[in-house]
Amino acid sequence: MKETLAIANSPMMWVLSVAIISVVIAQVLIFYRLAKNFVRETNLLTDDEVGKSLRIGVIGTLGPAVAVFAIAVALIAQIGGPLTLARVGVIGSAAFEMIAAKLGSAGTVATPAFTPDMLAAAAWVMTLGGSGWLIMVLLTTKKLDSFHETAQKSNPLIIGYMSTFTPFVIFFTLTYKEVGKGLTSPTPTSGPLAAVIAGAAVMYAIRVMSARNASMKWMKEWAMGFAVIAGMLAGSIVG
Amino acid sequence: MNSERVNKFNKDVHFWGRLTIVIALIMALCIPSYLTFVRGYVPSTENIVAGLVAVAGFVGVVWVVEPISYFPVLGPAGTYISFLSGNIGNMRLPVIAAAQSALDLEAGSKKAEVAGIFALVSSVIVNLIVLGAVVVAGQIIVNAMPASLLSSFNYALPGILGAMLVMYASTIKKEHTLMLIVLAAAVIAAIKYSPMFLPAKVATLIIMGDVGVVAIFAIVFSLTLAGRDGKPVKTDK
Repeated sequence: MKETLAIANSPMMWVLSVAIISVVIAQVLIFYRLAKNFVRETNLLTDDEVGKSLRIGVIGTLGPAVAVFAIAVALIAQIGGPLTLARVGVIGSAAFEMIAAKLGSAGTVATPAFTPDMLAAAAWVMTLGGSGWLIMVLLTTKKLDSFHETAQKSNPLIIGYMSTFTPFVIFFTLTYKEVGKGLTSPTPTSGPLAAVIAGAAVMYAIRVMSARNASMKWMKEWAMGFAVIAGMLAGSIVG
Repeated sequence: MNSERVNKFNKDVHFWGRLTIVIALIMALCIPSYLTFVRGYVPSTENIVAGLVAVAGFVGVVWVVEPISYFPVLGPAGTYISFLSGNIGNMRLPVIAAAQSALDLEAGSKKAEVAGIFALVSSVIVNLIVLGAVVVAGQIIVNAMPASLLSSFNYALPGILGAMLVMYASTIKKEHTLMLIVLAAAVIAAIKYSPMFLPAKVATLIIMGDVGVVAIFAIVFSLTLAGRDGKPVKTDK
């Protein structure tokens, strides 16, 4: 186990994992440039709108990013820093990688039987397992895009409906799962339910206020931040 | 808007999106390859196959369903970015939705797509910075943070989800919102009780892919409803 972690945290492993993360960084920088040039040449969005979008990305990500802290720390203890960085930074959700590491190492991860061979097995399974998504994206995205375009031309309602109905249903299902997780856990808690209600109430209040009073419009940009804080407060108090 | 410029943009998005994903696929293989072929830790093939079969049983449906069901919101560039960096349901979808809502953009429009790219770019960077902090000093930070503060972050996602539901419910017509809730609840219930009428293996697959499966129903519902409503002047937004 000790020897295994020494290998998992060896310098070469760090180099490889940083290399993988650089692909992710390079990708977003490329898309940033593409979008920026496109906007400059077409005036599709104002500078203000671009700035707002960038800020919303930051505001909306901080809370959930810190939320994976605990599980990421647990994962580091089990499979080392580099593999955690590489796996959670790419395609990953810490939760999926935790399970994949366990399945890949025949359940030995975090036990004395976690030999270097098992580490290699876990690395293979996590990597190949995560590749499923990427391969599907490679195969389908362009086709979906042309379908999208055809649909837009033939009946704009399709896109209007699809791009609001689908996320609503996705968020509805995720909410059901989060609330259910709390209520059916060994120590039942309605914390998540309270957090959902608090987030919803905050969003509702912001929408009403900014519709009534133009000077409150800036609140919409911070809505996610307020919803996260409200959720954390309500959840902690009730849960 | 210049349609040639739009076409060029779309082409660039697919070119760079696919290229970066192919490179990421290759790079990701470096770590296990290094362990096995350079350091000589050769795991038994059975271990890998058994692990992969287990993983496929756990996320197999998700691989197929997610890229399709998230596409209407993520758009092409958003799909390439989101699937490479992960954390779609809890970070990427919400920031795209929030940007559309804060800027009053029509979902599915080019404006919404491009604003979403900017939101995703900063979302991924922030995510990586936080992850970097965890990797460098995770244990120290966890020890320094009061346990109650740390556990309160578990309620960040539910808070966001509540906000998202209100946001979409206020852009979708009331009767459609009701129909969607009924539809989603029915599919969720069917998935939950699927072990009673489906073989265990199939049921597990569907249960694991539940979010995507429900979303597929929403896509089909959108198509049917749009077909029925024809081409009216007013859309939902």
